[in-house]
Amino acid sequence: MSIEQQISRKQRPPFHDRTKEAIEHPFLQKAVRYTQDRLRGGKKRAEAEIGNWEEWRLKAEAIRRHTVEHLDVYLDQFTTNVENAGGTVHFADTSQEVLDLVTQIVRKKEARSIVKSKSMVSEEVDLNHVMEQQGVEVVESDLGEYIVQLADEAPSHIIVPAIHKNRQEITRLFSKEAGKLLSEETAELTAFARKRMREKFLQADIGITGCNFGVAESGSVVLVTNEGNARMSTTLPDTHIVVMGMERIAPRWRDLDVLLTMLTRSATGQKITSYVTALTGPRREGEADGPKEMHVIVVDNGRSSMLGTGYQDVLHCIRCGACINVCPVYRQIGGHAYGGVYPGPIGAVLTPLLEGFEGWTELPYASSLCGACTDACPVRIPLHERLLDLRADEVETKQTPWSERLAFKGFGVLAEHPEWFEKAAVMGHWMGKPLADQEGFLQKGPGPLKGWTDSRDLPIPAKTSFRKWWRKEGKQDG
Amino acid sequence: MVEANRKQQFLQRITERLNRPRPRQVTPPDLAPWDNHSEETKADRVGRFSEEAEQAGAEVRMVRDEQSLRKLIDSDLKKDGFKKVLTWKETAPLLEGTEGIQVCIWEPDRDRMAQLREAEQSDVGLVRAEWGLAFTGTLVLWNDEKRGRGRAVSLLPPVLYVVLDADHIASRMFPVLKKIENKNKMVSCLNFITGPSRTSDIENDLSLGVHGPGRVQIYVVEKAGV
Ligand code: SF4
Repeated sequence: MSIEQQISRKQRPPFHDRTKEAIEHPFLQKAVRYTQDRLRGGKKRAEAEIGNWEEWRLKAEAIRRHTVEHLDVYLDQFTTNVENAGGTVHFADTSQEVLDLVTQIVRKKEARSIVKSKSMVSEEVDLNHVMEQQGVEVVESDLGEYIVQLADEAPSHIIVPAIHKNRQEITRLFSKEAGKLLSEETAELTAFARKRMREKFLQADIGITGCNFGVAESGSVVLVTNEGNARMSTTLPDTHIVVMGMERIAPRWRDLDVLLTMLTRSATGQKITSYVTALTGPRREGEADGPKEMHVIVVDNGRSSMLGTGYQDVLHCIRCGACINVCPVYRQIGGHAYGGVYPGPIGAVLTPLLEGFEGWTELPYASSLCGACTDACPVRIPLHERLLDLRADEVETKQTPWSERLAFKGFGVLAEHPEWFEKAAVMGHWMGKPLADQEGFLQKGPGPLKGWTDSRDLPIPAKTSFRKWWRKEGKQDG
Repeated sequence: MVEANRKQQFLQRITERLNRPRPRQVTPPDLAPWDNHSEETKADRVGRFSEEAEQAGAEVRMVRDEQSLRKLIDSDLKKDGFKKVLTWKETAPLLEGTEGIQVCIWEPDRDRMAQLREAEQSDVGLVRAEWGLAFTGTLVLWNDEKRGRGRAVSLLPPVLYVVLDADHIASRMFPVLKKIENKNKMVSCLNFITGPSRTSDIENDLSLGVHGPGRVQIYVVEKAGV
């Protein structure tokens, strides 16, 4: 971790304050709910439309499991094929190595400006800030990321990064950029972004993208967007840098068909996104556009520590965000409260695994263990079980001082009223279901639940209840 | 070329963590039976394609042959009031005879920046899709270097016209991908395009054309052959 990162992480307000802030932010609450419902509804329709959804999930899981189990073989094949197609491959063990590699390329190209398409891994290593410190302009080209960048904030959802910003805030940010007052119309705001970004794209020396899937058999980097910004980043600048997590591999094109179907249907409910682009090496003789050089940086940054452990299946994740869209805790606290790059259930599991428990001890508790995430996951990662595993591991390694667990109280969801939760957990299993709406949230609770559900939607209690854990594990340490 | 050592070191750590020797060969899981839609007729596929493409926000026109295609493109250009069209070399003949409209042809040998600026100023781009995918209404664009098919032509202008041969509509990605698998070398850039460029990043409000074309018009040609 770079010094800058350490500083910015230290400055991060404590978990307790982050959640409190979110819960007291009325626009955020409304926006989060609306977005969750929209995306979740889309997914439900897409599941119904495909018919045998569970069969697809099994196939997708099998592909991901197989790929991660043979990651050495497929990474070898993938990177060899990238090189055969004329690309250059780099390997980075740590975030510092990613930064060094990008810096080297930037210096060699004497680059002044970079355009970026959403890349979670470059968020992991805080690439933008480090580049800016070196005097290189970095422009995020995904509209949501652009908004968040202008506001100097972090994304709060992996699919819809700026859900926490309202129209007025966006208009203010864009008007400042434009040097004139823009209207609050979506069309005008989008048109401004298009125009502004066009110039940036045409001037940029380097395009940086992530990689949704790397197809091993051909060495192709597959990028999935709705806006087409990844196409822009890989058509106009002379140099293309791919920053990819090492697990982002699909063995064959036919596997890609399954994974793509699951990714887009689970993310937004679309049968496919507007653009899926497969890039195999840089531009070739006879082409006038596309990058002259393509660099692929394969990043570990904590990932290999999950291999061979009970957490290996966390690497199966295809970053669709479906678990976030069904999470009752995310619904309450939004994305920023998670503090890391990845919010929601996947973030609660992944962040401590990538970065270690230190500083992230609260995250495995940012869950009600209702299991909705596990049911939603298109590659069937048992997320709520992994959360429990993490809690157990934390206790074992004595990583959680009691005071920090108490901080979880401020989170205000269930720990705040354990007596309600206990009743809910007991009654929930035989009363919860019929009272739940079709999305699995309790709309109105009986008896002791009433006060609770009047103001908040309560998730259907999990079979392994938080309360049980609380009694068993929590008190021991206290 | 990545330093061989560095790569081996990186892979070796993975092998060790996986706690087994590195296998020489692995077989991915069997996905069959997968393509359960192969019995559909061409008419089914064309119908499904149009439906799905329209649902994704594209406009679909059916034309009998290349001759009527030319006429239709000409009248559409006029109706849309376009002044400048950008096209691939191979689709340029479709624009012969259009009057009062500037036709720019993407040339691999011409100056890159000048061409990109030109693309940026064009009202519409005209290209031909290699394949259509019925189940998603998707166009598959092959940016084949041998034919100098510029990536920018289908990306920079605000509107996109795409010609698609009705015989080249497959059910879904799988059969097309299989053909790709069989090719020994992938093209440098393969694009799957479904409807216009879209975003919902401002308060979940849908808006078209933020980066790519905001309008996509597809001409499905019954009997092709330029
Ligand atoms: S854990 Fe599963 S549901 Fe969550 S983002 Fe990853 S793939 Fe999607």
